[in-house]
Amino acid sequence: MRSTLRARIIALAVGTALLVTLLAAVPILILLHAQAHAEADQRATYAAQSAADYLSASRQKADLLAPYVARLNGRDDPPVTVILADGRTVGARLDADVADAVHDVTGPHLDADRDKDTLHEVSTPYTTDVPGGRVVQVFTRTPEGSARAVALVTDSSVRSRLAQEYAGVGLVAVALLLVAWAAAEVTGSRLVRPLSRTARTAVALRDGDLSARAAVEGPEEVAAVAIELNALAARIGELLTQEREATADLSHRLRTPLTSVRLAVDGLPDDARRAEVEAGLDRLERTLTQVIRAARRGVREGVHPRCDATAVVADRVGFWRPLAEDQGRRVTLTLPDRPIWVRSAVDDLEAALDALIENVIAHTGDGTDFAVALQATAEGAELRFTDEGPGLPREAATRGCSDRGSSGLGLDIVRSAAEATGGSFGLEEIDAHGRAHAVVLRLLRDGSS
Amino acid sequence: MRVLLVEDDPAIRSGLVRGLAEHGHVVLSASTGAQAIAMLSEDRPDVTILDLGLPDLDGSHVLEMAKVLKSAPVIVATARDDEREMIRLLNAGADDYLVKPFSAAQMDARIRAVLRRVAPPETEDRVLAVGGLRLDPVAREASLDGEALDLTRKEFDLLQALMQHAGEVVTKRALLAEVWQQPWGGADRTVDVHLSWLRRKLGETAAKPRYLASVRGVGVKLTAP
Repeated sequence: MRSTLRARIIALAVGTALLVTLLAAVPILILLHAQAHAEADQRATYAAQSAADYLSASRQKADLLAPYVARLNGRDDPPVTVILADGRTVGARLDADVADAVHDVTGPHLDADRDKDTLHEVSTPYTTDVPGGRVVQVFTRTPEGSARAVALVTDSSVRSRLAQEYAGVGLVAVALLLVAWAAAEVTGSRLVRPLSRTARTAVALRDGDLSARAAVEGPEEVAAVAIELNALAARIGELLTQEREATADLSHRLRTPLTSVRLAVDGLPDDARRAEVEAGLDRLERTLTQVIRAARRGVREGVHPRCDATAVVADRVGFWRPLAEDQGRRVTLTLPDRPIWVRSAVDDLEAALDALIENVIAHTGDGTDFAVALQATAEGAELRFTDEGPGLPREAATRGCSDRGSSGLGLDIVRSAAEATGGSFGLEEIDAHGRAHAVVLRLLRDGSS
Repeated sequence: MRVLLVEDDPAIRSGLVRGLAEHGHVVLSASTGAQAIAMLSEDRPDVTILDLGLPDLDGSHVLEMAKVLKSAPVIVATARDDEREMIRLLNAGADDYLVKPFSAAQMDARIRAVLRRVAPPETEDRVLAVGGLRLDPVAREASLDGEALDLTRKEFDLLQALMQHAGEVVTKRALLAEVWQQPWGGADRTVDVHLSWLRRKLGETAAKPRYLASVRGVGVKLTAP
């Protein structure tokens, strides 16, 4: 199935926006990842240093250590654990595997209060990977010996913070895509709406409404299509008018002298010679009528001839059936159970069927049966007309050749009807004497049904 | 009848003047529109036959003038057989039209039909009756043994033509000329198929006829059973 122009424009805009967003998002996410870890480490370092500074203040009473650490841990910072010189811990509890990893780090040798400011020395922070995260340790001396403050940064806390930031980035990306989609939708509509209206005008013209005109609107290229379509519609109208005038002229030029001849023949003595001339005149008039009818095809059909072959065949066979029955002919009619829309004017298909049936009635004896069968085919419809009469000579399929002794005009009408749809005509079921007993019309389907 | 023939083609004019005279009409002729308008007001014909393609005026202007003068009915005789043109002319006031080529006999039949329509006789005089068949050409009603018949336009005209010649063999050619206005004999089957439909509606068949009897090779005859 073909995608619409609007869908293509939207796909292009959203696809481009998605690509740009991805190109921008990857470094942003990497940066956010690095920044989250660095910030967590920094905050852990700060918390550990705060606790170590407190420990180094020898004048602070040791019993205030626990409330101080609890206050630190009450903030939104990595939890701090103080490990005293005697191995006791104050603050957040460390898992055993984390505690083991912490104890694997031996701090630096720190002097006592070298500068005599009553504050003991504090080490630089030591950052170490531990199971489930990282720890920052800051060592200090206490009167009881070396102690350390440990701040734990868990991977889960960093991931949780990153998830929030990633979600923010995702929302911004989705918002960008929505903006791109909306912009493409607006642009697509502005482009497609006038194009769709122009296409509807083309359909109306195809269906025979030659007054339909496209509005000149939209981008320059679309407006140009509308202008050219309108010019084409006007040209079709002009051609049809010219054709109508030409056939009216043809009709006038041929019928007027023929009237003089007929009136002149009326004045002849009523004898065999006059009858002969009248018979010739009759044939000439019939031929003339068919020639004018053929010349008028374009005018009669308009730009979009179509009819339901099932209905037309049923109607014409129904029309002729009483005469056939009066003549002792059995008529077999086989029709599909649904309409078959073919590319033919009703008049033309009716004329073809009338010619076929009339041919049998005129040139076969009473009691000669005939059958009409219409069936749907991949291309449209096949009409098979079969009779049990003496058959038609093979040459009858050739244009202008006589059929069963007549002028051949009947089969020309049938051929024209089939060929006007883009279909074909032929004779089948040839017997040993080279005579055909079936006329087959292949009619092409009307594409717009 | 006094017939005014407006026709610029001399061959058609002389042929039709002669042909209609043979059918008992007094024919006046005009070859231009201006001459026709003058004769319409001065000679007051019973019917006018008007060709549309005149050298000085379009025939439709003469038609308009005939309507303004409230003159006799107008039959348009034209080589233009465009359906839209025919409808336009009938709407413009033409009483009938005949497409060329035609014979004098056809034109005579048309003149009589138009005059019957324009001045219909009293109901009891105009109704045709054959056996149990009744047909009123003006009311366009037909019945068989008191039961209304549902006939198409052509079937009605065909029955009317046959009832007007009840008891006579009418040739298919004559029926084609009178009912279909087609002089050519090749369309016999058109008459046949309409006769078959008419038979069905009259409740009979070709094998068991009552009113309609085919005379092989000649034509058809309508008689009371």
